[in-house]
Amino acid sequence: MADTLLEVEGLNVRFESARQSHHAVRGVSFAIGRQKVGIVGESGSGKSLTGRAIMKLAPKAARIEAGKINFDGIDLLAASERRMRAIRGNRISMILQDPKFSLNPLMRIGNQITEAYRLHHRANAAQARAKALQMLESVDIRDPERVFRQYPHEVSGGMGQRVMIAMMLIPEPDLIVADEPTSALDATVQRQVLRILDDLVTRRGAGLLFISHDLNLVADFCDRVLVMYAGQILEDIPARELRHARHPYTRALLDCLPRLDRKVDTLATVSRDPAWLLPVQPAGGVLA
Amino acid sequence: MHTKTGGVTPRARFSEWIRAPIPQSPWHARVQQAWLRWRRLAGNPPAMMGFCVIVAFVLVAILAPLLATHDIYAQNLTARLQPPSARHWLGTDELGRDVYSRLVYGTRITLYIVGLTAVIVAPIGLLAGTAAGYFGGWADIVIMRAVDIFLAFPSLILALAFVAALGPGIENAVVAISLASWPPIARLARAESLAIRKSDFIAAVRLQGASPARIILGHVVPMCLTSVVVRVTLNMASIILTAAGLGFLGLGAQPPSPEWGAMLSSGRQFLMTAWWIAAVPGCAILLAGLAFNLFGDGLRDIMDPRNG
Amino acid sequence: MMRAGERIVETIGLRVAFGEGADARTVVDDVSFQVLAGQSFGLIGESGCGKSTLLRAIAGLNADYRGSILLQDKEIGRARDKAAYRCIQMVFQDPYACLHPRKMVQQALLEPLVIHGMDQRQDRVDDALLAVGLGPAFRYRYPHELSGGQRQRVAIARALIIEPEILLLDEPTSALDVSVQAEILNLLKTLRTQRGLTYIMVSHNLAVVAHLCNRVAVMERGRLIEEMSEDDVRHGRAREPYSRALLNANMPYHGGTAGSAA
Repeated sequence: MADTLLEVEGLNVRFESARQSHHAVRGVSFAIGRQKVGIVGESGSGKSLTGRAIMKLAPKAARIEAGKINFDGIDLLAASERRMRAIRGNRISMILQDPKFSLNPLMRIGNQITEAYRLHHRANAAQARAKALQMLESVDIRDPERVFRQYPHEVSGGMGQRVMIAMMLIPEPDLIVADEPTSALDATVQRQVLRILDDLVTRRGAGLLFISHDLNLVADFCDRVLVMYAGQILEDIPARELRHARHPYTRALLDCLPRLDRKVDTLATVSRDPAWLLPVQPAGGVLA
Repeated sequence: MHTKTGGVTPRARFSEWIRAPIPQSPWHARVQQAWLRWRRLAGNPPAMMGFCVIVAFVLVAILAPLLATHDIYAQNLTARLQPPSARHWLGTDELGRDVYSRLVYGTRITLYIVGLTAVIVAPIGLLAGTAAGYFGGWADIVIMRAVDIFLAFPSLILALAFVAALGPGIENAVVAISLASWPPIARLARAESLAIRKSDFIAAVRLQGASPARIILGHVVPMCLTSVVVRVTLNMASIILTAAGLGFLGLGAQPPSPEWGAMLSSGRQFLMTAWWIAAVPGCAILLAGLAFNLFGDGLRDIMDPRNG
Repeated sequence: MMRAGERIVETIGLRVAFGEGADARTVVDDVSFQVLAGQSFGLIGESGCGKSTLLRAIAGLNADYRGSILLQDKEIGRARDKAAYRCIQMVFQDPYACLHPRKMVQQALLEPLVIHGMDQRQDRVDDALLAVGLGPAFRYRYPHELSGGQRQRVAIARALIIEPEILLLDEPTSALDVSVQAEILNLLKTLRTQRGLTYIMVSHNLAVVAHLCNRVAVMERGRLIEEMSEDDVRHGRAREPYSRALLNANMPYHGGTAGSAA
């Protein structure tokens, strides 16, 4: 907990086209320390875009404005692309949803990991290989030698995601941004992967920004939850208090899920109140 | 946009109609989609330029009788090999004919060849490719081997062989060029069909009991159409060149027809002295090819629905 | 139209294998089960267990199977006729892939009517759109203009417009937001009661299956290992150790809802 790792103030992301302007992220402000923070929202809420805007990986058509994006004292907003490249994958790592799309299908897994390692560390091939095998072991892969030689399509989804985590953790980042890391996985494998992530984050004292659409998963896994709707943060509460959330949108999201312990005839639906769209916080502005 | 008398201008009415969020009829919906495509094209300067040049060529072809200044067949041996002047805007050729007028009428021939080839090649390539891709098995093997055989011949040699067999002339040149041009289209259509036949919307229509003919013609072909149209448009440049090549060799349009390739051929011997006889049709061929390429490049962007 | 309680779908020794020779994988291995008319039958299991393949074989999308599939106590051959197709329809998982991108909603709904030679087409299209909660305003829309939930509604309308008796559902809500999922599940429940349909649904989400189905079967590596009631699922009561492990893995962490993973 404690010291702030990432500070975002008044983040606005707009998509401008010839005919219309789409305000995808509206005045988002939050701060993360060395803890697990979840951003939850439905599709179109701007949660993925927020994560990418912080790392300056948003689509070219997106216009990003913010009062402040500070990472450990570094001003990310003003940082050059060169500076960002040194930070990305080194001090801030990103884990994406589907390992099928984030691992290079033409390279063996071992080569991808050693390449990631040698990007940020001076090491010869033998040292890099030893480090790669060590990383594969740390994510609970029982036969690292065999996996080292395999191609991404030869391993299961859960294994692929663990390989991704291994790759992302090699440089020992201070902040991990995980965008739906377990959405493509089965329930059993999900738990496994989350356990590994939890272990690594807590042991290394890194911060985790966990972006997901699964409210319950985030509530159980993270320390703090930010609920996003239409580009805005509607609620920022400790995870254990999520079940007692006050905002009607959060309550509605919790209530509309079917439950195993309670049989209902008709599921509650979410009726969107236009009043939820708060006036936008300008870049650099203070919370209204 | 109200007029002074307080009514709504036709322009405002159209603007409202085209931007209506809920289309009132299938026709309305289609026009809206077409209008959106036009807007996208307008936002792509090179493609727009290509499009304008093509439109200009079409207009020139249609209005040829009005635009030409002289009779294209009238020989005037006293005025041969004249450089461009006020009387003959682009000079005269070795038989005293006006180069400008022949260029203008030659546009008709070029567009005729290109259009006819496209109209022959696209349907044949589409049908062969989609059938091969959708059915697989023996249909695939037989059709693709036929494609392989045609592809094995260099296109100009194949065209030459057919023209030699059928005799020179524009229509035969078109047939010859088509025979060389359809295989890549078939390959493209097959590749797309292989991917499309696994999709859920095809599964859905199979579940409705649709016959293979209905599925291929009604569902697979519309999906392949974009790629095929783009490919054919890009091919038009090389079709123009092949036709010009045939004309150059005297195997396409026959003299005294003002086909650009033939003009280029006859101007070859005067390249050092009366350069305009070869340069003018040469530039026209270049411009036409370039226009089709630029337009074809921009076409894919505008033809797919946004998330299509 | 069958009376409730009669056997409407049955498979006997169904086997589906992919690949040839050394590469052959048996994806559905000797599966035999029955579904009664008016029942809502769920198939659960981990990814790769063969549940989707089983569903597609029953639908008639995969003619390469061994064993028998019976519809209303009559065996249907691998080449089906229109009447058989009309009896079973399917709703697919990905709303972004189940509608033809170049066809308007109206065309998508008219086509099955034309294929089966049904009358009063325009009225039926209007009724179908209303039944799924969309209005006639959606007739002339293209799929790319619709949201995921709207597309899935159109897919349901298309499946029901030719009045089938059995609806196969392949993870119909797993690609949708939770709020949209709730609406679609409510819609599916309503339609089933209104029209007396039989559902066979594949899902990996136990809470969704428990909400919609009254009978559930567990599949593991191509084999159907256990059948149980919806109540058993809710209480984690299973005979086989694999089923028990599966139910436990999906059990609520604290509050009572299983994770709604996509």
